[in-house]
Amino acid sequence: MIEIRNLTKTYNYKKSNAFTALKDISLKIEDGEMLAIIGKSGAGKSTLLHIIGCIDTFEKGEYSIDDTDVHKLSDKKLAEIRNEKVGIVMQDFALVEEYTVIENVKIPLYFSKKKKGNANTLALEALEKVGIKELAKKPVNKLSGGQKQRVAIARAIVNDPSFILADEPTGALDTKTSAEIMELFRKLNDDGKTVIIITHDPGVAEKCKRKIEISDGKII
Amino acid sequence: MKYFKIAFDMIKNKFVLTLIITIEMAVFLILCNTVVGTYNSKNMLYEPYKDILKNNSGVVFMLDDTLKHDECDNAEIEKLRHDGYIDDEDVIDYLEKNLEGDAKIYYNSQLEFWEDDHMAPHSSLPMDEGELVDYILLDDEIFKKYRLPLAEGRWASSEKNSAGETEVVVSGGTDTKLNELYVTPAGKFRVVGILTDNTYEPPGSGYLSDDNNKEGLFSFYEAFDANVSMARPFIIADRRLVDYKEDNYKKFNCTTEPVWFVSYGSGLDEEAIKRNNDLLKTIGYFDDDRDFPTLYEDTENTINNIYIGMLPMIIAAAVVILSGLIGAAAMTAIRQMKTFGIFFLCGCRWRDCIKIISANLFIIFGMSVVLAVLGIFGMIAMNFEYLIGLSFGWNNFVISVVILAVMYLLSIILPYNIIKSSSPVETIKEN
Repeated sequence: MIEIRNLTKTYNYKKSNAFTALKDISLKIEDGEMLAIIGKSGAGKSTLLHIIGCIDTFEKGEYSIDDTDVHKLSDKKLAEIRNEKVGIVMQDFALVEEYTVIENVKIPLYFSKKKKGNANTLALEALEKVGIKELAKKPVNKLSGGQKQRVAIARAIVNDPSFILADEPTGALDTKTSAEIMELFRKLNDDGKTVIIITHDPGVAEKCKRKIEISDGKII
Repeated sequence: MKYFKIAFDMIKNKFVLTLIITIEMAVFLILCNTVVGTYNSKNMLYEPYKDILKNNSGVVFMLDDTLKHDECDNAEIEKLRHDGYIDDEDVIDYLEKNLEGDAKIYYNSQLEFWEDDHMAPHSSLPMDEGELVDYILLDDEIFKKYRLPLAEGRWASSEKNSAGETEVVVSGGTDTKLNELYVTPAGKFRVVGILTDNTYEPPGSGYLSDDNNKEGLFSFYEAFDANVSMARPFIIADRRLVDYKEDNYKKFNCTTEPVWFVSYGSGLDEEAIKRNNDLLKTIGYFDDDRDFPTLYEDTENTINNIYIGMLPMIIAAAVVILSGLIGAAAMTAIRQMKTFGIFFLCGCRWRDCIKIISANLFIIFGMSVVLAVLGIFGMIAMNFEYLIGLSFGWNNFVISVVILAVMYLLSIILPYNIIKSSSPVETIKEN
């Protein structure tokens, strides 16, 4: 479970050009939820996702993930959370273009402390779940946008995290492919994963079980 | 280990760039090793003589070879003659007593068999039939200090072995094997070491019969000479161990060509030096223009000039390699920022990205060392070192690797700063 209480995030904290992106946010996300965070561009959606994903830090408030207070964690522990508890999918796929599909999917396994099995086997299983096992050895730069996003999702789930965080996952895809990707997220949610999707697309948000909207750094 | 695996995957995907840097570094290593090796080998050749020449006055002296058998004008020397012969050792004793200052004579010689049937190998010498071998016999004090680079075996002992054989080292580039035995009328010579090359005949061991031979005598610094590389092979032994006396040369059918380093010690004034020189001139020859101080200065200058001559080349190579390495490391850091951002998303600590870059460079560094070793082996196998008159040596290689390691560490500074001054969040947003 993710629990955020009175969280404030200010960029350039204590500097003259300080900018508060999130203001006193409180949010609780139960295990197994499929949640859409919607809002206009610059509303603070991505900032929230970065904080939930332990990519970014915050100045005030509390944030716990599975009862662990994230604010007090070291860099090492935060890295462990990103590696084991959270799978992150980005709008631009965030793939290493020179790598093959399977090399990309194996990246989280490089940094994993808990050996869950053979890296190739785990990566192929993840690719099978997203329906592109046959592309395993293909270079990523030869794939379509939809295929790339599937690779990104496979990488996000290869370490079997509890939470999948997706930042505008359909933003770079056509309607048909977007629908396929959303269907994939739904299946992952059905399998017990908590899925949190950042989007400004109402159609995508509609496919989630719960929606919250952010505006000017606040949940409305 | 995981960082090496990640780095290896990154290198695999940038193979051409990696290969270019690896070859560059390997060439540098070979070059650096060659320069250091060449300098060291020439210095080693000269090392035992350094103490003799430094801070002492004196000359390199040749006894008049007719003196041994024919009468001379020096009445005192004539008193040393027995049965028509004068023993070298008696002359040395006489000179050490009668020269002014703290006189000491270092006695090198070259053994030469003067009957045809004894000039050729007598048993297992590896040369073609009739080919000569130079038997270079060094003063025991010089012999003990000599440590020329050996390809095999060890430096010879200053004591005879249990079989009564004289231990010798043999020039490289022949078919001579360790433990071979040279049987001559002047004793048995057991090969215990083989020099790395065949070109550096130790100086101070030839016969100064005319002006043409002077260079051979004084060439601490003219160590490489294309003619030398084609010269006959040589062995080096401790002179004290060779069973030879001038008065029974007929028995052995051979003779020696002695070269004495006559040191007058330090603190002698010019008049005393002149008196010493005059005494020596009654029984032999030396080159007035090449006394110890001149020889010392010339040698030091020449050896240092080898270094100075090669320094621009090595500096240029170092600059090229260092800039290449630093550039490649910085480029890796900059071009891979997106990749590092992705690694961060997937559970890598931001500061650990520098470990990935370090591992990346370390793999290139390791491959360069391997490539350089292979290159050196290849050159040695082709006798390339003898053709160009340069030396390789594993001790020198270690020095070269240390230099490269320093460059490796320097090359990490820039990526370290790039990573340190970047934020993973910004990197993820920008990419």
